[in-house]
Amino acid sequence: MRDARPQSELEQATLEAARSGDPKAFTTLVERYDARLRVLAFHLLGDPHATDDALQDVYVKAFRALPGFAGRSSLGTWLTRITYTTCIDHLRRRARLVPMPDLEPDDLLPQGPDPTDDLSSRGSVRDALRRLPPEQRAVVVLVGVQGLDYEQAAEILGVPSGTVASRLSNARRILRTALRGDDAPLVAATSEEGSS
Amino acid sequence: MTDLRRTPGDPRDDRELWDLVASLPVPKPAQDFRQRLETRLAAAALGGSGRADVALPGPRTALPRRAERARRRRHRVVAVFAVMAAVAAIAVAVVLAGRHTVHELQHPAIASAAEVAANVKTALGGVETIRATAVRSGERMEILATADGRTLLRFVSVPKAWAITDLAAGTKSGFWPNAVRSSTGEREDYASKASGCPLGMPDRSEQDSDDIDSHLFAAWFQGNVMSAMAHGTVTETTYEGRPALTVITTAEPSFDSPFDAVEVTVDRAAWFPVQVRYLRHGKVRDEERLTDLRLNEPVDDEVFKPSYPPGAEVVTRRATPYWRHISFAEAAQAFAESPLAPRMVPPAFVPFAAAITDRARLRFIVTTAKGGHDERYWSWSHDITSLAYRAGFLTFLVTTRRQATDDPLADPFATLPELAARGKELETVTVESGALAGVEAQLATPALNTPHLWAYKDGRLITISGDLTRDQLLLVANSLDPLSAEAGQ
Repeated sequence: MRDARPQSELEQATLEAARSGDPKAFTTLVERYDARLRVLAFHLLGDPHATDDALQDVYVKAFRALPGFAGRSSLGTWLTRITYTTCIDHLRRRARLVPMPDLEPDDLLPQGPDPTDDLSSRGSVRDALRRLPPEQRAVVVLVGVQGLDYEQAAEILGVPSGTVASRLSNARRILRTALRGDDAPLVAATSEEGSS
Repeated sequence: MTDLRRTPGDPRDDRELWDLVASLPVPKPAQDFRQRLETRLAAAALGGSGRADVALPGPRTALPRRAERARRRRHRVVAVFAVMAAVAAIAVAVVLAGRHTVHELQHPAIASAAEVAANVKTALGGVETIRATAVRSGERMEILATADGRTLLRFVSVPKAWAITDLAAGTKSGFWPNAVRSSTGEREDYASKASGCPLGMPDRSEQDSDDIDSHLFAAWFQGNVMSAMAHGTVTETTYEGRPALTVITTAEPSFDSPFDAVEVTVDRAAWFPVQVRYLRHGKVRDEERLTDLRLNEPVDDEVFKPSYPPGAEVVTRRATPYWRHISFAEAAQAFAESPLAPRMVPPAFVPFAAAITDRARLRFIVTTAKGGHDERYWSWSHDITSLAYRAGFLTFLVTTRRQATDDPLADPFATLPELAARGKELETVTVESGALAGVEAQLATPALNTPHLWAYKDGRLITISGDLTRDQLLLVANSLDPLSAEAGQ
């Protein structure tokens, strides 16, 4: 993950304004992180509305805690950690007291051609991912998808680096097994790129 | 196929798998996501919790003191609404009293609280407009309300602030000076217009402050107060020097309830409630009342048109992502299955408003093990149609939804622990005719909640609720049929 700390004077000024309690400045500041936080939250919660609700909570928490943000980690790492813990809290509350809400993302997901249609079933990937424990899903998103190294993911998840590595390894094994069998390619190589 | 791994066996190098995961679509945020967030952040900046229930900077949320008070009262909100209904009713009563001879102490003895409630209901059903000053926990609000569902509030403690609701249109507008803080730290005005408000319970807006019935004179206030009155005992008293009756209702025991009795005072000349008090162990815990009441005065429609100061930046948002207010004819054909609607209604009720949504979730509050409260949701409902019927200031709703449930006895109206019907307040009845013929329904007339009935048939949950007695609930339930496109014309 690239360093997400503010680089420009404008960004620094925005951070300072947000730190002093300006909601609009804070909203502007977190907009650049929203997409990647949304990916994590959606894959953890599996529901578009719950994702929105959780991210609202994340940003309110972050806004209130921002004056105490010391900058020891990047702002992106800090926000990602809040997102992870907030989503885990949402999952725990949901599991304790009410049935899981119906997953109904189909009519809310982006429409149009699916680039993975000619590979494997997107539904199979999604279903396999949803069967993973949330801790493993988080590692898949952070390390596998977003490219964080083990140390960065460990800081976000609050576990040792070795735990991150083992979670990713286990998640990969489960996903592969669920899809086509251990270590089998997902599709036959059809593209020139794949044969290079 | 090329092996893209950096190091053999390193799971990070399975780019094929991770790219496939990365290609899974992720839904975009709701259209109003940023607006909702900015509103919540503004509340947090003002010292509030930033929770959804304080998102709309209104008279109870614009200042930290008010926000704190709103949070304290969160768990009593429906009951407090009932108080306001009573206050409204009081206003009507006072006006009527001013126009008629007051037969002090010459009334025949009142046999029962139910009789008082029936008389109050008759009075509320005949009023066209109400002007009054409401006093709630020391805060004063000037109120103007009409029987067609529009309300204007002005707040004595916040000059120039106003709030307008339109129940039929499902909109709430407001202006609060100096309510939010700018980037330079200075306070700025806050102007908003929200649409898409549900017609009422059991559906609620995503933020409590967006609920239409959080303003005065909506359906549930009267229902709550009259429900309480129907359970009570009657004593004679005076209110501001006028003959009055006080109905004291002791609620069914509830561990969660912040009060154990409700006291409603009714002007005896006009049959309108003028004061409501909530008590616990004999001590008043909350109180609302009306003064300076005038009834049926002509109203200029212009006062209900939002008028923002020049240059005001109006925040336009939706109270919920989905609710739309449409005609009854449109509601009949909005979904594959027509919603149920009554063929029979109590006297004077007419079709008033219809609203639909593709999906919604019922929300409720639970008590946690540590004694706190937390928010929970039912599973999603689909194809929801809410039909409102109105007579004067009385309203009831019939709502149809596709709803999966493992517990048909779960009360959709028990949004707070203390509002669940208990003991004799709850009964199982069998609907005798109409679309629900033969179906077992749950009928609740709780002391602290709106009278209501719910039943499941063929995967659909049907609720009836509002200013109705037990017998009227049954009348409506026994006459339900699919809504026709000619209805409400």
